[in-house]
Amino acid sequence: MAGDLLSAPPPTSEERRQKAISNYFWASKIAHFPSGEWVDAGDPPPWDWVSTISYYSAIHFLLYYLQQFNPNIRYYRESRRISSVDEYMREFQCPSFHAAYRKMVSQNFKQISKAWDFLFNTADSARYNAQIVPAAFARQSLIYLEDVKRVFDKPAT
Amino acid sequence: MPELTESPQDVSSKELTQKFAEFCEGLRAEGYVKGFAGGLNEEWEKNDHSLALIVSPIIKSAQDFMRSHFGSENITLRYCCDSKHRCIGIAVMLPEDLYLPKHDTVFEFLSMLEDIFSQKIPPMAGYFVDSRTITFSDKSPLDIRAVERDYPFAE
Repeated sequence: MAGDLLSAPPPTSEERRQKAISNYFWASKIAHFPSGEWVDAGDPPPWDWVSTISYYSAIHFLLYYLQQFNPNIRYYRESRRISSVDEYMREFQCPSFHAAYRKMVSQNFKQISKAWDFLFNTADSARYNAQIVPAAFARQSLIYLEDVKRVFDKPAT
Repeated sequence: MPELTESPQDVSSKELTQKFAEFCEGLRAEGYVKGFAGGLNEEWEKNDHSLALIVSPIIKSAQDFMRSHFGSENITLRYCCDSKHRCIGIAVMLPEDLYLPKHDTVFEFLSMLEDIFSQKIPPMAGYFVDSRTITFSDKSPLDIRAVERDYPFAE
């Protein structure tokens, strides 16, 4: 029921992490479908879904990190302790979730800023064209997801 | 506009970044001056089309720079302005086979453009500037109407 969904408590940080891990698992798993028994000859390749799930896994890893560690997050010359993307958007007048993720990563986690940008762009391009993401893009998305996971998937202290 | 004499060549990422930063500095001053020379006043930012007067020449020059650098005329920049919410969105459309090996550089360019708009043009201070790269190929043509709807302004 919609009412139940709206009144549901927000996920815990561990639930966030499990969601990220689940997406991470399926992105990798689906990437191997074309050579697996679940795929029939002539089926379209799943590269757009590999890329999309990779990006959403990355988002959940980021959200887990914010919620678990409440880090000091910079926005140009300002900084605040941030525990959710909603806080970031409110504090820095950010217009959209995806813009917030991208800006937050590019200004605070530079080692994965290009990886994040690629993950977002690859998943987002599907909105504007009737494409199946090329295999090379899906492959690169998985590689970059590993980089993102390495940064955000830290054990709770 | 600053001269665009660069041709595609192998220069280090650091040199390239510096070159683009210098180029943007010229644009910053030029966009700022041109905007106000065009008769804008302090009310200008309340109007998306007035905002476009400043943004458009910078977008045009950035597009020229990227086309020149990557050696492709198949790169297009579009943008949207929302003066009410104080934000600008930039979309770069380019071929998949160009983006895949060069996405690092594309990201560097766009990050600099974002910083120029939101940090270095005084009347636009505090604007949230976001960009995205949309790829295409013969096998995955763009839905250009969707892009134009979301990003109504071109240079």
